[in-house]
Amino acid sequence: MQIRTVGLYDVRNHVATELACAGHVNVLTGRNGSGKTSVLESIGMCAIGRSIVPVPDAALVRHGAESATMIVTANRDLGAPWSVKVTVREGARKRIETSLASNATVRDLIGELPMVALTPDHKAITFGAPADRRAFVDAVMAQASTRYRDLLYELRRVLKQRNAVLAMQADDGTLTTWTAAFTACSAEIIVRRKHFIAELAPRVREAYSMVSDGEEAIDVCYRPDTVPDPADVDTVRQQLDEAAARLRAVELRRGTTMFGPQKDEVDLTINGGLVRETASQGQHKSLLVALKLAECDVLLRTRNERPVVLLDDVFSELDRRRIERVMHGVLTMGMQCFVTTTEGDSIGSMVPPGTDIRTVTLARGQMIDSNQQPWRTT
Amino acid sequence: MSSDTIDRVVELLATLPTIGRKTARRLAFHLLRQPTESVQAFTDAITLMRANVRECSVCQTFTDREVCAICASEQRDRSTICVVEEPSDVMAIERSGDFRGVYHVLHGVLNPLDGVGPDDIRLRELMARLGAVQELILALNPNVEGEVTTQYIAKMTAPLGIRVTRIARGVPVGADLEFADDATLARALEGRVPV
Repeated sequence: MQIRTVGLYDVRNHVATELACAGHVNVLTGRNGSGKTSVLESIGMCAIGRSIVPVPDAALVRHGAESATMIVTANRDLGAPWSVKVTVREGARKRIETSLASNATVRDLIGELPMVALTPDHKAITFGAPADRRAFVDAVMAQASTRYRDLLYELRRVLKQRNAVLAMQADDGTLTTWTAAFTACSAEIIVRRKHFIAELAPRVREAYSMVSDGEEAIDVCYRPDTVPDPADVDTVRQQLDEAAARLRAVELRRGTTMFGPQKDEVDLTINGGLVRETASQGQHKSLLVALKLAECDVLLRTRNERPVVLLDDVFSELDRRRIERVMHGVLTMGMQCFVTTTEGDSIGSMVPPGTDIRTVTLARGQMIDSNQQPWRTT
Repeated sequence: MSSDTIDRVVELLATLPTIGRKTARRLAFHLLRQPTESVQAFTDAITLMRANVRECSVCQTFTDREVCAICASEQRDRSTICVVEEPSDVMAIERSGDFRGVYHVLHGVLNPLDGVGPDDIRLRELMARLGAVQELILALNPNVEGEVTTQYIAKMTAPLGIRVTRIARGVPVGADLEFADDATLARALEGRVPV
């Protein structure tokens, strides 16, 4: 996928900004608060239906405006055009229009414009809690497989409903049926996660050795809750049903579900030790970059479409050498990338000659300088 | 322009499902432009509907009588009951013209998040009708709550030895496969039949 234009209307401090994008590297530079990240947030909104930073949708609406509108036009790798328009209004459901549907949902969007983002918040993938690693795996898998995306929606709904029955702390006769629905979609999710991580791990190792030059042994291991060896869907479902029977009394007492894929862990290890416990700062950074490059590779292979890469404020987290490796990896795979940085000149010197690169300087939501005048702001 | 009367009508119209404030305002102004008799006929019809329409004592759908026309008809096959979520689903299936059995309307599905359990939908009434029934067709919406209610009814009726079926899920007639969404296609493949 290659983004041709991005439009921001009443998005954060942008009143109306329209930009034409370079095919390879788009550098957004400017001081803090100049509106660089808002461009990436808008692309995120058009790709996965939410910002790449964890904020409520309404936070994107410019102060004093009624709504914020974000528009992305792109070309698929086979040349077909693709466009998305997302309008966010406080207190209302966001409105999504695409080339295919005038009233689409977030669910319809996911995977259409494959996207890989690296922001300072993503540090949590290697440093944070199991939920952060699950969120990473789920986000990649949902973009890679529509079936997995649907299963996640189903799991979320069934889990809420089952917890509502448990919260009554008495079985109204429906707990067994909700449990059966829960174990059915959980089993499929667990087996799919197992296969996905088996596919991801070698790519992470390969990317890590490229990024770090290190000889550390890196691994990504899936550790599903309750199910020691997720062989196939039927076996996993049986094991989950057994867990449900075993935990029934305590679940009813506590009023919540105490097993299932919402408790899975994805262990990241370095030389046999857990990354979050043993890795140095540099190793954390290298591994994060490796995970993101592996994500690019997986999406490219599964969707047969090059994802768009968004790198937010990379210099705050990565040193020059690691950024060079990221840029090399991304450009080698032929992907388009958007980079925000306060050090605008640095990126240009990191990419090979002949790269289609465009640098735009922003201040308070307005373009003040562009090397090819591709932007229009009012 | 300011009118408390109009504001009140807009407020009330906006409480209807799928009607937002903007649409409510358009409807209110539309009503204002109609002749008084038309508006009177409209409000009379609503008042009459609310006063006269009740649930059929057999199938629980909405009707003006004690027993609805479908349940009262001698032409319908009472050994087959089609279970649906809402009275509007009865109308949808009737439009097909192919179903000759009778219906049972649950007026909802199991939904613990909204506090809807087995006692809040018409399951007890359904169980009371199953004496001479040979087939129960479950035609609930294909979402999480509809699926779980389908499974719950199947489990509940299993000891009675009745044939319990569910409607098929798949590609709409006349549609192109390439435009079907992935989940629908997956279900269609899952429910394939020999030819």
